[in-house]
Amino acid sequence: MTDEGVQYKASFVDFGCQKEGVIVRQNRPVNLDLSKFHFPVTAIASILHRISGVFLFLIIPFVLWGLQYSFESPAHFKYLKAWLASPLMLFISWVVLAALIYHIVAGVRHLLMDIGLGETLSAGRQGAGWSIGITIVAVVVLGIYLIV
Amino acid sequence: MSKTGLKDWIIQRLTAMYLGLYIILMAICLLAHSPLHYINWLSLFSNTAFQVVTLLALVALCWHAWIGIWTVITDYIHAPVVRMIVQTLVFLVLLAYLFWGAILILWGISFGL
Repeated sequence: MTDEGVQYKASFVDFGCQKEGVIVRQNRPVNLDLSKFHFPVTAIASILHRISGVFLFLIIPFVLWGLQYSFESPAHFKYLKAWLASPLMLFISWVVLAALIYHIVAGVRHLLMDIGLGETLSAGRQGAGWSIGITIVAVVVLGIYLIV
Repeated sequence: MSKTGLKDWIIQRLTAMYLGLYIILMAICLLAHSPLHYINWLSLFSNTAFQVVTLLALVALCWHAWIGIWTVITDYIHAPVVRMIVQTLVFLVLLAYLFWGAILILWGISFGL
């Protein structure tokens, strides 16, 4: 069935060992409505690992700056310590540490799967649930510790 | 980045494990000297062994981050020229972090900032 006015183009399907020529529409429809997707817990665990990783990467320069500042003099150190104890900085530190905790927990899960532990579908789902669960508990405990 | 990706895969795991150990070490050091004073902080980073371990951790961090971010970039940026530019920038930034951290830890403390 050919629509009026629809442009077609030649394209290739790559099977690895051979390429097959096909004719496809120029403007192929895209369906990326994320609100309509079903996301398994394993997918959530995976994307959180990626997001926390990128976030931590963006935080690196601030950590390095803090390190530099902390060495400059006892007064600098004291000032930094007090600043980090302020409510806003406590909150930001909590968020950063939460990202770190999740990234490590999910990372350990990755390592376990590399050894072969938890590679089945059901084990994978459980592992994803545990990663998120352990992180939530740790983050809540950390939050309480920071407030106190 | 490496031809089969195997080298990167291994390095990503090794650096991850080293960083995990370093974080545990750091946590122990901080908890042992709580509340933390400038003099403890400075002497910790003046210790040669700790400096070496920290420098290794810095290398591990930059390498680990590079492999991770490279993967993310490759997943989302498909146009070759744009990808090249972004990858190069990220690489340079991580290299800069490495030098900055190394200078901080080795020279900044030894000779006084």
